[in-house]
Amino acid sequence: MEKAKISSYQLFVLMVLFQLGSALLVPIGMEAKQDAWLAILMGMTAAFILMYIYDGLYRYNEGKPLTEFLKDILGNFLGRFVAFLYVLYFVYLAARVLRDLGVALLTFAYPFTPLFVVNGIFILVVIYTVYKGVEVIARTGELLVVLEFLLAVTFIILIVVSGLIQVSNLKPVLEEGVLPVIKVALKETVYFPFGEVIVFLMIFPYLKQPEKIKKVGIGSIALSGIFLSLFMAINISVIGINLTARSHYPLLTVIQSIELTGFLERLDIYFLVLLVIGMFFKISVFAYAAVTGAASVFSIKKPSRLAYPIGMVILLLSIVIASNYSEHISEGVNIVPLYIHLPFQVIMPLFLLVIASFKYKKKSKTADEK
Amino acid sequence: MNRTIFFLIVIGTILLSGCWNKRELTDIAVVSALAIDKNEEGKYVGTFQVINAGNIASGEQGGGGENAPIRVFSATGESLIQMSRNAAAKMPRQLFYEHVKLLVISEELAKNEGINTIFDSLDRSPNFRITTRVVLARDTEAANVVKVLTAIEKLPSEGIIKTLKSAETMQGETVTVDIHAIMNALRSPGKEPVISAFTLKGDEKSGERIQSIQSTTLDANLQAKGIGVFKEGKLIDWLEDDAASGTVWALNKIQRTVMTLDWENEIDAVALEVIRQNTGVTIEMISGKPKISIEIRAEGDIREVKNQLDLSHPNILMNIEKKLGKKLKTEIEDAILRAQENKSDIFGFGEMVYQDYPEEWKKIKADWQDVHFPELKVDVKTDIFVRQTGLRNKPYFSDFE
Repeated sequence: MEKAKISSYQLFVLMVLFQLGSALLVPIGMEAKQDAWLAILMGMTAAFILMYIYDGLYRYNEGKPLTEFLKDILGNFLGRFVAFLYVLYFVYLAARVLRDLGVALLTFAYPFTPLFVVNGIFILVVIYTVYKGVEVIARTGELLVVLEFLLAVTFIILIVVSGLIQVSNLKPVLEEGVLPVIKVALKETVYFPFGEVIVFLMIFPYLKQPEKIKKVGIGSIALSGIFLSLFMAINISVIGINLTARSHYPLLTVIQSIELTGFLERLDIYFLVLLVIGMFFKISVFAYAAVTGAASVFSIKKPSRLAYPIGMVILLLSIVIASNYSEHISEGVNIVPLYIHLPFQVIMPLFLLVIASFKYKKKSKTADEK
Repeated sequence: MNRTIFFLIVIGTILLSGCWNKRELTDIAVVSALAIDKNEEGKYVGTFQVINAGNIASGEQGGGGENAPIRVFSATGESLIQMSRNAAAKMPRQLFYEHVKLLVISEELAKNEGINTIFDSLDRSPNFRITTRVVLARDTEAANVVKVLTAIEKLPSEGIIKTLKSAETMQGETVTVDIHAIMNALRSPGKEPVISAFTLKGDEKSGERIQSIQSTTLDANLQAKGIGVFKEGKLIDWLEDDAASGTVWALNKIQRTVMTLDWENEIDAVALEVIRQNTGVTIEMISGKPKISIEIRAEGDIREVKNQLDLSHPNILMNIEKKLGKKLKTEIEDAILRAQENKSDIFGFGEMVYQDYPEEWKKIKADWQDVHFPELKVDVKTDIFVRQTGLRNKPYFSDFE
């Protein structure tokens, strides 16, 4: 662990940017059709429970990141092993997001540039940030959230003013009843993007006021959940559910539909800026967690030294992860949530919480007896 | 230290210059309109209207270009992508599709083959915008529509779009649709697309020459003419005049239009300019069958009378309101009847049934267009309000004996 401190506002901003990151740009919860926005809200509600679990887990091990307190709870060997799995998980997710970013840039802006070059240039920035430490990531977040917020607000104003919103596209609400929507929420939207905040268990120890974690966590999930739901509702009401589900980047199509007063059009740059800011924080946080995690698993004194090698691993993984975008997406929708997110985000933390609560009780009992 | 700086500069130049696949302005040909025809061999014929940038600029400075502001190339192919590849063989520059504003589809193609599958390459391409407007070429080849020069507007594609818009807002017999709207209607079982048409008046050959726009009257002129109705992706009918305006009213796309009324043997004796209107469509389910009610509220000002009408009298205005309402009602009912005869739900009533009654929709979805829509009961209610009469009340000739 490095010696760094971040404020609760910085953590809040970082968590919001992290969750908005890629989720704002890709279609999520599409199986719920025009109720996707509801599925996001439901996923958000379920994520509150996850946040309680993470917070409870951290309470038992205050001041230590996930990979450290795993050793305390599960013992040295098993703890290190599980911590290593978590490092792999973070590396994999970082690579996935990097692939998302690279492909997005390739499809709509740089069709003739090799994926490796785009991803490579981006990962260099990430490596540099991770090398500089968590304080730098947090400060960058503080700076860029203003831009992201301004873009989001002007986007909403432009969309409303240009009269593109057709609320009837959101109808019929709950066509097949509420069950399919809940199913999508529990199958997909709760893990991506909300459940991924588990990575912040690696960052909580740096918080100046540790008592605020629950508040900050819940608040950030609520804010980003409402934002995502609103944006999804806008997507569907502007271009319809059919086109939203067919698009790789529905928000891009929505932004391209804005034609105001004859000159406010082709605002693709909105999408590009949102894309780069959001993806940057997502990859940086994952990469940072992987780097500090790996340092703690292998007992390396200076974690920042790992920034470069792990960055390279992320880069290479992002290239070989899938042979085409459809494969990448279908893995992301069909395999990752159930077989990767569920164990790492729900089962393992719950299991750890149970063990920790027993251990803690025993400890406090023995302390009482003494 | 010096070495580090040198290293940084080298790295910076390589990474920050960002010219991986640069395209200079002198390397690209900006396409402003694209026309799609089909030839006898069954191949697509694409006609690309390319902006002749130099002449547009000189025109703005008052010089008036000596050459045409556009150049037109055409190419054939089995698919749209192949067509655009073949066009490259005739063009010194790379085609640049980001600024295509208009897509023209020929009547022949729309009638015989249908438009069901031609949009995919445009939808898929990151360069093409799905907000590109679409028109049909009527009684002429699509190619001719993009070849003709227009007066006032330098760029013909711009001219067509502006004509379409002004006709929609001022006349109310055309609709402006883009690729997105068409794809949406084509895929939805409860909606069929409508596309406005343009036709060419005059000699098409001379319309291509720059001399054509140097005189006060054009040798060849483009003109909005009717709305094409589609069924299962194929053009089946043209709507004109009252049928067209009734349709546009029911689609809630009317913005400002002029309504006329006959009065005591005088044809079109009263002209009302509609300032604002609102069309509301509601659906009820009556014993498993949908019933549509259309409610229109429109208000406007009197712009012209040809009769000795005393417009200072509220009763007369109310009478005008009532008669206009009745006329509009029949106009809309006729338009709906026409659509029902065509078995083509261009109003998207089916989509509304789906949105409000998804359970019932499942049962009638399969044969909505052929069975349920033609039998659909539609109730039209109109409310017209005359608000002002301009600067005067009685016309100046009201004292004439």
